[in-house]
Amino acid sequence: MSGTVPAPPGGTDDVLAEAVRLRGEPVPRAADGVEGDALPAPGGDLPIVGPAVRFLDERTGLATFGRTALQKVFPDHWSFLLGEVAAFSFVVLLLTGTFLTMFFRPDTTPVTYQGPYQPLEGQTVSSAFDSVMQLSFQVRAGLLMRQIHHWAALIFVGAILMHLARIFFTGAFRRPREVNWIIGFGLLLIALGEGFSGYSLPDDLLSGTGLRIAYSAALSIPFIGPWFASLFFGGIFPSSGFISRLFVIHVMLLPGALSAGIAIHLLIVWLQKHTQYRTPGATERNVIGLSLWPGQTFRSIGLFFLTVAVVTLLGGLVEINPVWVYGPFVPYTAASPAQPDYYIGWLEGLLRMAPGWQVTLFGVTIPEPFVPGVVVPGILFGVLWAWPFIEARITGDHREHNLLDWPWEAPWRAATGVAFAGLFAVLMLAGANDVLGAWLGIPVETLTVLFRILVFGVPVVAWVATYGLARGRLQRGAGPIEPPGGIALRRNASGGFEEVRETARVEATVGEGGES
Amino acid sequence: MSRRPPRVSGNAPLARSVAGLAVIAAIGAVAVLGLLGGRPAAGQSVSTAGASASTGTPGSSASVHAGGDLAGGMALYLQTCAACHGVTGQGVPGAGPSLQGQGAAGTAYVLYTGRMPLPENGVPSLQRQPLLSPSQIQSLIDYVAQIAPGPTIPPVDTQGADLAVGRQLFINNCAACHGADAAGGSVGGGFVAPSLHNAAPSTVGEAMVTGPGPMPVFRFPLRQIDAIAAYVRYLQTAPSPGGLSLGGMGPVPEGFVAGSIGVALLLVLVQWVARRPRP
Amino acid sequence: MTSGIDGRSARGYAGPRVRGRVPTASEYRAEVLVGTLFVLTIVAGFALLVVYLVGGDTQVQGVLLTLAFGGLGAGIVVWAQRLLPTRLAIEERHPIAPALTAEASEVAAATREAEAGFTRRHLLIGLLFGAVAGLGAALLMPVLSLGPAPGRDLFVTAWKKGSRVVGLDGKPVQASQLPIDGVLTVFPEGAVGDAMAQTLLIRVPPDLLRLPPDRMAWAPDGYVAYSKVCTHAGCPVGLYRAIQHRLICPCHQSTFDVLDGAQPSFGPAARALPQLPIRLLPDGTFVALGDFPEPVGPSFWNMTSGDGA
Repeated sequence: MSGTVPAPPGGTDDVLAEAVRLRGEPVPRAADGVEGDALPAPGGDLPIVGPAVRFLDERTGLATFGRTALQKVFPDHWSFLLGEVAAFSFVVLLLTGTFLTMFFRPDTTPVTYQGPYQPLEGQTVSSAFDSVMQLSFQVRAGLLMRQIHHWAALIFVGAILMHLARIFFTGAFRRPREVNWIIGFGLLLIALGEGFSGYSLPDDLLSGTGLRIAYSAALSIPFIGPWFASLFFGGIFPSSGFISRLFVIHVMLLPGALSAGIAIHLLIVWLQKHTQYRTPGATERNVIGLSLWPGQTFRSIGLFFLTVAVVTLLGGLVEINPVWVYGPFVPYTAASPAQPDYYIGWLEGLLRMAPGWQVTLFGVTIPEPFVPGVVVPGILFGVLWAWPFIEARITGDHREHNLLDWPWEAPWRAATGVAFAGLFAVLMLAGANDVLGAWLGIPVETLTVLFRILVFGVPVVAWVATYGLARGRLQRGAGPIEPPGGIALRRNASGGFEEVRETARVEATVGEGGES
Repeated sequence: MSRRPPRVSGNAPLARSVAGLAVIAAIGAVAVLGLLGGRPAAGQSVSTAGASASTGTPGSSASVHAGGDLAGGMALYLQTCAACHGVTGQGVPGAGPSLQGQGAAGTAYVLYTGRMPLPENGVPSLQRQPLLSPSQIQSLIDYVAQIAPGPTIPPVDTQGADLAVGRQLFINNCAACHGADAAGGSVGGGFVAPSLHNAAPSTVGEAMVTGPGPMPVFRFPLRQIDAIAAYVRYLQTAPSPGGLSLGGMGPVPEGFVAGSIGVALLLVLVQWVARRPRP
Repeated sequence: MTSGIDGRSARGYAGPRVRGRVPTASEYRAEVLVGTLFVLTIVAGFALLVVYLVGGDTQVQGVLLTLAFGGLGAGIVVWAQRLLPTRLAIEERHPIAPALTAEASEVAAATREAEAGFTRRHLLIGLLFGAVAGLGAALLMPVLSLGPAPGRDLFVTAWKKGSRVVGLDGKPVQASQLPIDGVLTVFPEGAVGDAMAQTLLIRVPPDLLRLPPDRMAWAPDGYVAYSKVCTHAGCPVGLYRAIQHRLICPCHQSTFDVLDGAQPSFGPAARALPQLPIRLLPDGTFVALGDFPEPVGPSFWNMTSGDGA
């Protein structure tokens, strides 16, 4: 990235001076005085930062990069923060998860529960379940941490889905960003795996039931199923060693993959620079927004704390996964309702609504969970994963795009996206058919048949309706114009900033006088 | 034997965590949670006539309570029940099933939970406020136990019962339909296993030995029935240490709250954070 | 929060905390707001510590954590929005892959030389691919250690001819324990709690049973035993709708007709629950006449053809 920026004019002092000069340069607006506060005049007013920067730069030479970095421009539309929410939830997950690992024992050895939870007193439970009970009832703030962890996991996936929807509907995945779509979608899959493995760790009745289904789906794969299931689970279900395997997967493999993937994801965003909406002044050749320092940095730090606030609110106030109610896993019991966390719910729905079809040809049985549990999810995710290439193939548009479409500007894509969303929504509801049935007073069988129809009907209707709406919107006129506020600075070739006052496109609606 | 308290139609789990609800309310989600909290507690239950014909139940015997008012019971029966179930409890085709094998337990179950008598003809038999007074119910029980012998009312006593035994029995025998939290659930065929959050210990025992409607019969030793009833009682009164209980319905309401409160709140916050006021 | 400030004119505020000039009223209000939010964090933080030390309550701790983090986050955001420059900046994009530079040409030339020395040796290239494949085969070694060969475990259970039918307590099940419409989870003696051998013993009115003729003898006196492992995805089929004699799996609502040999009547399961042949002994207990006649649990590809040996 530094290749695009010329070398600094001189030594460290020059760089520092340059940085301060750059940041402090637009003094013309001294009337509002803000710069005077945030940016002290150069020359010794940075008693700590100055020497620290000098110290680091003399040893790493990173000041050049630092200058570039601080001035990097981020679009200021709120939808660009959704990915940040996901990343911040991940940070919460890492922190609370680390706390939980201090107490969790990934071990299915039977032990006798002895603790304050009366109905389990003296019962034989697995060591893993016992440790979750101790964590929940005997470790101070342990239950809080567990609940924050679980809520953060639900919100993590939710934020990823919101972020993904933004990318999809605005066409941000188009060249040159197909790579980052591939990585990002991979991150979603890892997050789903991470969620499912975490759901399964406490070794309670619900998690054991989920694992049982996962095992059966693995078993259903023709030719390799029995071997695959046995290798992955370490034997026939329920194998005693699986919790410790799951633990390694949950706390090491997948978080490592997530961390590395997020790092690469962000690095590529950094290299490619953000996309931006078609606002006045925005072109394919520039990025308009807030510079990393201070605007974006402060906002991001603030958003981080706000994200933590939301998950702690839920974690403290709303009970989630009360494992003591479910009790320890035993293979001969399942409680109802038995659902996975919502982000696996669509898979559950596929399994629930599938008709009982099983074929045996030439001695080879295709078990009934194979198509709904393996093939269909594979196709759905495969299509979404390869979407940038599929769309480029269909539209023949292989150009680079840095300007985003508003969703209605590509009716065909918007319709497909909404159809997919509708499909997953129906599947997710189908996964909750027993809860919905009890709640609405409708027989489960009726609901299931209804969902079998809706799963085809809703995507079609959603497609047609969205397409029509988007076309109508497109024909009525261009998208909303969001006037940029404040003065615009243009980053010039030498890395400095120059003010853009005129321009027909950038309205310099400077509001300095607005408050006096 | 603990006689049942009057049925209250309320949401115990919501009351469990008033504090949690208050704060959630502050972020404007009361309606959503209220809907969630309104799980099938008092309102829904088996949607057929509650009395199923269980024939030839072994070990059952007629029960005559000393001092029972048999004449009064008979009068009440003829007035209230006979139109549908027949003068001798033989049932009336198209109107009501035979009472054969119901005994005292089956009769007590439907009368004390308000499932019978029906407030008007043709409405489904659901858990309601009992229409008859306790003394009327008692005399009817005695009379029906005479004409339709069946299981006696198990003298359930939850005092000193073993909670751990009760939990294990409940999970292995009851939770498949009523849920691990006894919050009820669908059992298919248009039937719903009712929530047990308002069920009195004696009702638990009566239901177990008679198997009303779609429910199987669990003719367990009395000590085990005591234990199960004690655990059900525990679930009704246990605090939910995690905060606001989402109705014991598992991950479905949890996912709903994560989306409608967590992610929705963050969507609002994100828009606020991105605001760029004109200087 | 700022309403109280409005009474004081900005001019009346004399504290020159912003060097060189007097802050505007709007700035002052923002400063007060940010300060208040930070104070909230301070108070909530210390309160949290106190609450924790006196024993901690999950709900109170959660709310205090929320206030602490929320105050800090909101304060920082307000600071950024109202006290820091919020001008837009424009950054030029640079081509991600610039036109071929001299350096790139040199790199290309260098690789071309190496490529030439590589591509001509077809045999070696073939062997190289072979070597990679060989290495892949070798690397299967640790993978195969991860689990035992499936073997016959999927085909058989712990039930044998003569296995006594016991309950979860390990005691032989008495016929008198099960009234009509009763249901009980049973196991072969010595394998209580076994995942594959779990079985449901159900009693139905004998005249209602519609089993295949050769299996009628397996259901003495209306006592009929089916595998409890769902043939769809392996969950325990725990729901019994006695009024219609249907077993339902709580996981995916596969429904089986108990009277009809547990044939699926609704839901995603395709196979009937295997029936366990049992005999009622004169002492009122049960024994198995053998194992299930077919594999229990979810299907797999060679369940009808393979022997798993």
